[in-house]
Amino acid sequence: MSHPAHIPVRVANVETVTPFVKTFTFEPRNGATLPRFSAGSHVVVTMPGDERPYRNPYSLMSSPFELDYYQVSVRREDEGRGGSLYMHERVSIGDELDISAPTNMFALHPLARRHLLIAGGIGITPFLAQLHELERMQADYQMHYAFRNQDNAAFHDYLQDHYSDHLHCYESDNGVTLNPARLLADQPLGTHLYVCGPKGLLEAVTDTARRLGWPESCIHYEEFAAPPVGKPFTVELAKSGRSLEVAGSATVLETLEQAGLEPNCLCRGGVCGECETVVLEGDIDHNDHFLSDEVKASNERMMICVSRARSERLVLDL
Amino acid sequence: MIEGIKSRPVYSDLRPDLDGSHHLLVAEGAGAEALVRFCHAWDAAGDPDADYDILYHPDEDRRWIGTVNELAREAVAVFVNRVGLESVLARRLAAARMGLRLYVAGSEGFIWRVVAIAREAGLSEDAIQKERCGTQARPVSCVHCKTIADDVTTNVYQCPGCGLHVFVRDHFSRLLGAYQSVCVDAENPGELPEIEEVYA
Amino acid sequence: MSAQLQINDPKIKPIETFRDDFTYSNSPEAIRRFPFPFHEDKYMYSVNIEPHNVGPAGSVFAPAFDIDEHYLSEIEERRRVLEEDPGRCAVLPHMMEAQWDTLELLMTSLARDYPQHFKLERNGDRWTWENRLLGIKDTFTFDDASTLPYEPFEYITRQVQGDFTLHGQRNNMLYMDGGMVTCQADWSLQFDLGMDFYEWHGPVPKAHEMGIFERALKYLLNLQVGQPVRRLNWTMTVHPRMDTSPENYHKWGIDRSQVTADNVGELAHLRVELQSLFRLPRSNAIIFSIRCYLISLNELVTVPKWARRFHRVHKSLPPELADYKGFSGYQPYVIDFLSQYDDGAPTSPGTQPD
Ligand code: FES
Repeated sequence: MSHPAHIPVRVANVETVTPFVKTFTFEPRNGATLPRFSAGSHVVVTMPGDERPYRNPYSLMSSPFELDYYQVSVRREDEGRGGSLYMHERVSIGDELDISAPTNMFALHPLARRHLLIAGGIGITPFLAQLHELERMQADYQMHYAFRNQDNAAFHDYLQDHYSDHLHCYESDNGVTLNPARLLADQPLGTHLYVCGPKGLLEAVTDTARRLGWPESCIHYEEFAAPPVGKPFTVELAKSGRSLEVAGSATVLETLEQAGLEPNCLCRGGVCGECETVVLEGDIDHNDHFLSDEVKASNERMMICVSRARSERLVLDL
Repeated sequence: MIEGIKSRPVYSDLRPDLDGSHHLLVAEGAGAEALVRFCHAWDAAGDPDADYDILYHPDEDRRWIGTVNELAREAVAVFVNRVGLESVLARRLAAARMGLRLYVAGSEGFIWRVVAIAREAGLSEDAIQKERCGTQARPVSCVHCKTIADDVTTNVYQCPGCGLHVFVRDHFSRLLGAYQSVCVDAENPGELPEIEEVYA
Repeated sequence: MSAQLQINDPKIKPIETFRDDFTYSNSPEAIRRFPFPFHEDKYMYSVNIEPHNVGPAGSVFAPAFDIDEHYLSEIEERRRVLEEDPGRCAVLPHMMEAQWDTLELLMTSLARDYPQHFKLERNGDRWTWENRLLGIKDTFTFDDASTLPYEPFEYITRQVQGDFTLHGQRNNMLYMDGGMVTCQADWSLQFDLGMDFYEWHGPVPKAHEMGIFERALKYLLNLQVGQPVRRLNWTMTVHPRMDTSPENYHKWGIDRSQVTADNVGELAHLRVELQSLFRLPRSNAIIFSIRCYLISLNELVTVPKWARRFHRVHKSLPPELADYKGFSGYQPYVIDFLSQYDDGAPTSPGTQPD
């Protein structure tokens, strides 16, 4: 179960949404319908790549009630490891890709009395599916959307057209910024907070919520750690005695997969906990959101989908 | 989780949680003890920004009323019956904002009644502290007929609903706010163990 | 799906009883496909979770939900239990989406695996469900509970063998948010409703099993749509009694003291639960199917390999486990009885009959 089933899809449409964001529509290749999913789910898209395949998680933004196609949006990261550039520059209509079955790490809380959604920039995508769901449930919700300017405000018009009663926008270049303290200080009991966006916004909002006494169980966020580019290093596999070089733009997980191994993994973003691996030697550079600070400090376990080495070499219990 | 896998609730002394932005204390009977301790801790911590409110029902145990009133906060409300307290509590919660901390002290029956009202109002359990004070009596739900007996103090009792002699287990339901009891002599009808006051 | 070829075509027996006169019995075919759970000649604790919906042709593991010769009897028993105690089926209000998920999963699986008995026609939201075994043909609107005679979860689980529980997932935890529980081994849905994963596993015998539970929870939280898993659990039951609920313990508890050396072969039953778990796609909830199989010792010893092995398992069972499972009182009779069939010969690997 830790190797999600692959769904063969064809790219049915590619749409440029902003100068930085493209939306991809995937149709099932085998003629069947796609699996149903719950709002907030993501899929891992496998791209062939030149040297090695890229596998990136993207939130499903299409309606969960639509089984004929899925949609994801990808922001181009010029500094990234290449996956988003590949999607932007190499993927076009008619291409065939593989995606994983949908998995949800960012679900709406079914007992919430009110849903307070806060997105920064491209962090809007998981909310697009959730808004369909909230509307259908006739839930009490607010969508707060912060962006720099219109070039970075993907789906702004769409949101305006469909959810204007619930939508609050903050365009920082116009001097309009989101004030988390003001927003969070006056919410009724039973409100649940959901945040998705850049690290700065995410931390500002969740820190404020905690400072105002929001219980942890009501704070939800999605921050897929994009695996950072770093220094190359060596991993040694204690059980098989193999030694592999991890390139600066590759992750440990990808390096192992390239070498024909099949480590457990699911989200590839440091969230789900599937790829936890025991480290026997070396210094870990943690980038995940799964391990507790305590475990991180022990330097004994790592999430190989996003974390790297500080030392020249790591010895893994594999 | 150090306790191992148990559904039996864990109670602990009320302590001001200064992360909260509003604080509401609700107590019954000997729960006053916890109120007094809480207020001293609060004063020692000295948090001028926040304040707390107290709802208190003395129940049979009237000797605490003086002490509670002496806590000298304008915010103390003392109720002559539990129903009165419950309706004011529900009203307060309906108007409350996120950031509220709820503190409950009293018997287990009282605690879980308050938790149920709070849950109904949308408060999540991680915003609630609970301290059991005074009696150890348990609210118990008979698994056979579902009748809840309010203050069971013995290991075995006769269910007022179905008349079976039932044994009180440590298995606890937060939703029902009660422990579970199961027929004690099903395998040897009529053979009852010695009945002891274990939850006095 | 080629799986169809591998699924047994059960010859459904007329209704037998799991109470009063206990007319329930297994045919020789049912005995051969009984999910005998012991892989070794001694007791070993294991959680051994494995992929479900795959298994040897004709086995109980091949279909998503096994339908066998006892279908009509178990459905009738469920109806009787519910008639006496409607609370055996309960679902918390926030689980409506999971109810429809369940209905869809069960209907599509049954129609795929047993097309001779079940048929589902979907016309957009208008669905027609045909259950030939029960003579049911209903047309309803998916997502509109008012078009069904019961809520969707109860509607469909009244037509499928085995207990079902529904688990909502939130805050990295699973909750017992609903179920249809009429053939349980001694736990009460009504009492456990709303409990979290640790609470509903309630009183376990050994604290050191904590680590096992933590790992199991993490595993289930990451359970994938379309990749169900299963495990087997077992205990002993006196008489082929499906409803060994705590609710009725005052009625069946007495059974345990009625086992004697003479009647143990007939009265004592090995009770195996095939527990399988499926992620539900729309609600992100998990459905847990607990399918119960009962076999008397007399029936079990018709398979010499099982008789030998079951004897050895009983002899090596830690006493506290026999206590926990509730059969320590009559276990000596069980061991004596089985010893007649254990000549000390080695057993072949695997759990299949020779
Ligand atoms: S794959 Fe999910 S944490 Fe690494």
